[in-house]
Amino acid sequence: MATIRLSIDAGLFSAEVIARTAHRYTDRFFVELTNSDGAYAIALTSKQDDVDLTGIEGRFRNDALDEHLRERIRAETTDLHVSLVQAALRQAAPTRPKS
Amino acid sequence: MHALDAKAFMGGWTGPTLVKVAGLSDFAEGQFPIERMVLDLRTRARQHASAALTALPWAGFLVDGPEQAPEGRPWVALPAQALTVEAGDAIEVRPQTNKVARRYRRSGNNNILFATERCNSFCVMCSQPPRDIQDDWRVQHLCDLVELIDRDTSALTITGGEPTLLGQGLRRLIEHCATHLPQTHIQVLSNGRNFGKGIPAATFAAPHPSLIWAVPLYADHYALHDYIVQSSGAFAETVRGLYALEEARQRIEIRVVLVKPVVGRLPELARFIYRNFPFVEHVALMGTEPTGFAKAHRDELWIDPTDMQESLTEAVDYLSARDLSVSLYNLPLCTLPKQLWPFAKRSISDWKQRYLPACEACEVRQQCGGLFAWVTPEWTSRSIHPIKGTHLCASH
Amino acid sequence: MRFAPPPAFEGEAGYRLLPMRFRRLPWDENRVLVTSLSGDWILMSCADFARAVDKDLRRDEPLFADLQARHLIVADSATSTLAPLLSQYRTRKAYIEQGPKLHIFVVSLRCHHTCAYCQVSRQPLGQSQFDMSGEAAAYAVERLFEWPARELTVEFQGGEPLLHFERIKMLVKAIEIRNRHEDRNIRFVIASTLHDLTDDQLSFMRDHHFDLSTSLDGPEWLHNANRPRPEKDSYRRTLVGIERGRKVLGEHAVSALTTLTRRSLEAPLEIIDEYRKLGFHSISLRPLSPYGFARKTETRNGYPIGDFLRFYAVALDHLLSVNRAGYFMEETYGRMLLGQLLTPFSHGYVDLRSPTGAGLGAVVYDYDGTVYPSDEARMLASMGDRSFALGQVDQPVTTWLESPAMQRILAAGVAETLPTCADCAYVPLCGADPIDHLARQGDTIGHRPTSDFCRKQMGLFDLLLERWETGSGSDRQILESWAHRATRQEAQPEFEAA
Repeated sequence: MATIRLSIDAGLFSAEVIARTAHRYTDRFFVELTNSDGAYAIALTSKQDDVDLTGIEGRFRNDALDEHLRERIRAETTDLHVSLVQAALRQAAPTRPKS
Repeated sequence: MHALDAKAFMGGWTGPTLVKVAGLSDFAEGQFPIERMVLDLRTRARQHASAALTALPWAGFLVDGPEQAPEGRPWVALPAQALTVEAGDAIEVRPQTNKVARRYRRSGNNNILFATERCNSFCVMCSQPPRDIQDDWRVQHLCDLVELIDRDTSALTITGGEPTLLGQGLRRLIEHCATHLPQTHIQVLSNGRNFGKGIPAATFAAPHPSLIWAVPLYADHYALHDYIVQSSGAFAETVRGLYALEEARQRIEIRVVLVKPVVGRLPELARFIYRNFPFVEHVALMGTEPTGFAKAHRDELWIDPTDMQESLTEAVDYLSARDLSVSLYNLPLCTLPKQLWPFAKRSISDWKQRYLPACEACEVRQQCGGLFAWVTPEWTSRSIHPIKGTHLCASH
Repeated sequence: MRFAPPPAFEGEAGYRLLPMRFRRLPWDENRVLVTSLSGDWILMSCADFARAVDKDLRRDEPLFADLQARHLIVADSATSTLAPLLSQYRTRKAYIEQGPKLHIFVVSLRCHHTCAYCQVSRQPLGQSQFDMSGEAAAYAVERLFEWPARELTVEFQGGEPLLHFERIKMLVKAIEIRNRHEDRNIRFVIASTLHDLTDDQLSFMRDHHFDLSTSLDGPEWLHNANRPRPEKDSYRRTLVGIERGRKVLGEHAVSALTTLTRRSLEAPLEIIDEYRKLGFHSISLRPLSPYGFARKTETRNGYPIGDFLRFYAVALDHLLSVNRAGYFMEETYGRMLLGQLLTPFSHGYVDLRSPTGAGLGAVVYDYDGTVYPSDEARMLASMGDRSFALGQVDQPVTTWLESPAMQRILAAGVAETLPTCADCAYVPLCGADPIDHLARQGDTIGHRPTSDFCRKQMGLFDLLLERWETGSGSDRQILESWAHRATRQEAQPEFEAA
């Protein structure tokens, strides 16, 4: 049960980005997140002894960048997403058989 | 104007008249009213016309010279070599200009109903440059013509210009075809843009037993397509038009003219068609006709079919692997890799088609569509050569 | 006439992003898979993707056109249209139209076998109280025709449905009589061991154009080990059944599928070779699901999902080599996933849909008259949790659709709204299974990072995409031929056998 700790500048990412990133690690790790002094402190504690820890810090940082990209995409496209799905489904109303 | 016409000699005609040329068998079958037929009395027709026969109320007589026509009756004579007209053909006699136009050819493989000279696109390679004139009169004219067409004609094409610009007139024409020619397959060449403007497809598409809309699409994004058709917004309208046609349960073909900028993204276009319009019945990839606007833009448009082979093969393979029927039109077999031969169709209308001297010795000439009659060296592939010592693949 | 050059048609500068999701490729971290709302997609470098999101793409790059063509970005709104994106979305989700097409009738729980992994909780041969009654059957036929779908697949399951064949005959006749007024397109299927088939049963099934689906786990040693009968000859009897079925109903009418135990995972090549030996062109490599006796015997028969994925990769490569040698054989689940990746069409698998197929794509009429939204819900009930029963067969269909069970399913049944699924690049191609998540993880919404359901789908999507992308030309063609075959079969509902 090893713990990896890393720190990320809070100015780079929103708390939501960090939380979403951390969530991806909850299969193999228990996650603790704190925020103080302008930085996020992330602690990942492996659930089992055989969890591979190599490069975890690097992966986490890359994954945070990906989540950040997703946040930007969401910001631009969420409204459109909703209206597109509504438009598509409105026109796909099921037909009743002629019985 | 697609119909061929020629100067002619005539007498006794009071106005433009659309008539069917009748041999004796046409008279015997009685499918068409005599008043709308001209009896063929030319020597080549070899029919002996009794006085009783010629006394019937024919619209007139087709003769070699006025002396063959019965006294006081309208007659028309075509100069030798001018225009081939045979029994069963429909011609229009125009006394104002002393011209005869052939509107329907019984033995033809591609009869056209020319709907209008107007168009809402201005394609860079347009073979029928549009004119903005009022020609709604064509609707009635075409309806009259339809009544003189053989019922066993297998197919007709309605084209222009843009036929949907006739509005209700197009619907009327299609209905007329359904009534008078129920066994004739109708293909309408249309850019589909008017369907994409919220006008219901039902305005144009009358119920018909065998009707297909052939719609050109040149790219998988608007910038290239709009450039080719020289109209901003055309892509969006055509695409919406395709969906409107699908919703109206119409049969659809997509046509692609293979000008150079289009060939550059042909595989991408094939993918776009499959992913977005998988319901189309057929995709036609067509060699450019070197006439009309195309001639002024040869440098931008011309690409030797030999240089298209890779793109064509990729696009054809892609579509046919996905069960989308695809054909190649207007491309001589010698310019195509052999594996694509099964997709090549003899598409050029007989009256516009020719072969080159090089084709004399070619063993597959019969299967090949040849070239356009007005082809010039700068529109001819460097690969034209006779094919020898090969057998043609089983037909596609 | 002078024409305007291409720049005149470029429209307004700039572009907008359309809804998109991405995933770094596990086999190439410098590239991403980017998917649209409707499941169209492109692979590109991370650097290009970052530029695309930063609005730094140039008009003249092919990528700019590629992204528009896949509806990932939109340039000038006056000259663009989103109609194709909407059309693609409706086409892929076409399975939500018309209501359930798969109707499963459990005519009896009785069975000859004692398979440790049995998902059905079968009952011994003599217990006829586990047969469907005539009354329940009659109501079920009425309910069947209350659904609007024009195409219906009626599948008979058990236990071993042949043990109550009289009920099957009665149901088929009742359905056909009623269908004279309804004119639906109805297909009959039986999921059976095919053991001890009588000539009468075969000729009845031939007369009504049945499809037969049976279990064949692999070569004799494996099949008999997995599927014990007192006589220890399950494999031989299955082969006899297959042959007789083919002879009377035709080759095309008989299909087989495997259930993979831990033992099975050690023999991928042998299983495939067995199917090839018997002339099958289609194989289903199905991992165990967490229901019925499979749950009870999990320690003996079960395995981590990673082991299944490793098995599948080996099996896939062997299948590709069999196909390359000239013998066509597809794996049905892989074929469905490839259809999702490589075609724009909807598919017939009720268990990988969003909205979920439970209740919306399939209905199960149990022997005792209880109605379930899926086979899995019925299995859960046999394990003691009846909370997903929609109701009873003598109630109208509308009651079932309004039931608390249905509400619970719908609340967790749209993958695009589930945590983690919502951001996943595969979500337009994937599905939600609230009942599976409840069975495995204890709640219908589930926790994706630890979800075997998720790992299985992602693992298979990644594997198939990688093989397609990096494979030889002939491997690509083989995988594509599987996907396009799915299209030709017109997305008929897929079924599972006992």
